[in-house]
Amino acid sequence: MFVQLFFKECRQILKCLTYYVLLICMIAFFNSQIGEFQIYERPQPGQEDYGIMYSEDETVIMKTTVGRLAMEFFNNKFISYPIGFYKQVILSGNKYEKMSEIVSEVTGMPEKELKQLVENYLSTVSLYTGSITITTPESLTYERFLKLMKQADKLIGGGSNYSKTFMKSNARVPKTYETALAEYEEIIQKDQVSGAYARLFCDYMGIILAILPVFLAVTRHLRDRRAKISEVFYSRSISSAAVILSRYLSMLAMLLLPVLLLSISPTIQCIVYGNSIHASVDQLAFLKYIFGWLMPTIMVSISVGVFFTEITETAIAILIQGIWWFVSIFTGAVNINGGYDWNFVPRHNTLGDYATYIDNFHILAINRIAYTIIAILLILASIYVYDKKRRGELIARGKILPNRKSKSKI
Amino acid sequence: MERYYQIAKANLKFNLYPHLLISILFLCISPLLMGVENLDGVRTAQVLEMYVALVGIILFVPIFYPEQDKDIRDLTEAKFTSATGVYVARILEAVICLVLLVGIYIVWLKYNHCVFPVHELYLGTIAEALFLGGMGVVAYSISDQIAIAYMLPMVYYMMAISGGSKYLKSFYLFSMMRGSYEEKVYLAVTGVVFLLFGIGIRYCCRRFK
Repeated sequence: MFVQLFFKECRQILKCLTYYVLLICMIAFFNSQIGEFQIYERPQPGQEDYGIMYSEDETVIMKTTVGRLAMEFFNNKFISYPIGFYKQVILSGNKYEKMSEIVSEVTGMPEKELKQLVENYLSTVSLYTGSITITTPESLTYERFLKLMKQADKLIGGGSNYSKTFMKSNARVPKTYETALAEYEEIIQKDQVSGAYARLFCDYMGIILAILPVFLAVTRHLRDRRAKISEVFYSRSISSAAVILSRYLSMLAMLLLPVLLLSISPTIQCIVYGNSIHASVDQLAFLKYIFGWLMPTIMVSISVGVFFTEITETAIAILIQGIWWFVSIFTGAVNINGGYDWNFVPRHNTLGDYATYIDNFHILAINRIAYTIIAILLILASIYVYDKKRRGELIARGKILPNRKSKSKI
Repeated sequence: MERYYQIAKANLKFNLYPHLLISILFLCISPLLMGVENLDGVRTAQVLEMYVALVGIILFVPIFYPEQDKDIRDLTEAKFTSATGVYVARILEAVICLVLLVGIYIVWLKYNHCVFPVHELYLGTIAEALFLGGMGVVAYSISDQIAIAYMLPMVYYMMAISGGSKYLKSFYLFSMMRGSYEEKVYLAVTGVVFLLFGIGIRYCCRRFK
């Protein structure tokens, strides 16, 4: 019965205009972002440029970060990106005093002396383009430095240049031939070519799959109401769990299908390239990444659509998911090259960088499992709501307060 | 005229009101998400183009929402007052709300010591909001699905964010951040055409069904 219902729902989706518009959007996005798959060529010695990397050297990180802090403290204008948008924070009172203490400790200078130093620096540069570099006192350990930067970031309100994420990006250094070659070897050997491309694929597709499924879920669940067949469904003997789950799983399957199809072309390109350089290629890499990385995103997006449409009988789920998507995308933009955190849309907008991926794999795994659990909980809640409605309770008909008028005092 | 005033009043009370409230809330929470003080021209343009203009989608897309129910649509079409007139009244109301909301937001930015070309950014933001909202209106009138009506402008916005200037060219949404205002003229004209086209489709559907 359930299997029959599942295939019936799949057929219904195939008749749904929203599904085809969604497919067009997905393909257009794929083509505009990753349509032209560029193969990462082996770096050659003597090349003019090998790109930029972030230094792991603690001294470099400390010097560049303290220099930036000194400049911002001098102007009392601290830049932060709480959700990827620029924000300027001016500290006053107690917060300013605490910041002054932090700055004095990391520079080893009292406030007055430091301000004089920055003023002298600014008088020597006609147009300020870089940041002053300040050597930290020898007594300052890296652990203590990190602790102080954490406090500074908290005073600013988060997302500042002193947060864990940004501090790394303060120390940008040019890549050497050896580093570029090591990265290339990682792609070929550890990632088996396709792994690196699968991550990039998931990075881009995650952006669009965090929002598109909600449209299908809302359309599918509003359809019954528009066609005025909800009551007919309510009276059927089939369980509420079977109705909701068959719909949910059919949407999940029908959304995963085009993603899997889109991954065929880059997989073939990876296999061809791998064969040309006699490297072994992980032919199932895209499949593994899609199920592990993208499926939880699709699951949550559908669940939000199903739950909020079921409970309100309006399209409010689009707005809720839209705001969640907006915040996730802009928050993720500050950590675009891996790091993952708790973001709904984990980013890895770089080809390769296997080290970052493997170092943060546990965070990514916890992130994806947590979102899968959220999706399951929302679906269980949807089943509960649907069941209540079948019993004549919680019927909203598009009103915010359901059954308001039915509570007669007579 | 009195009749259209009454239509606008009813629309505000039953249809526009929740969307207007959401728009106001959307703008009010902006200081929690981003800086709105002491911004320069580029940063102000970023806030207006990437955030404030989204209000256009919230205000314009639900223009046809009351007629989502076929019974209500049949009833309104049977009335003496033309449905096209009702849609025009609703759109004008949404435009007034948009102009006021963006205007108030601009004044607020000025009050917060942001330095930017007021007229250019004000009109540019309205142009972008009209374009995104108009795109939703056309999608709604063609598909008769509110989900599609929200989907298209949001996907367009997504493409613009993901480095879509290469493909969108004159219809790129975030040109003011690069100091270019020419694109906004295209967006404004297309936005108005979209709105008219959306109503036109509804009119044709009624006329020839």
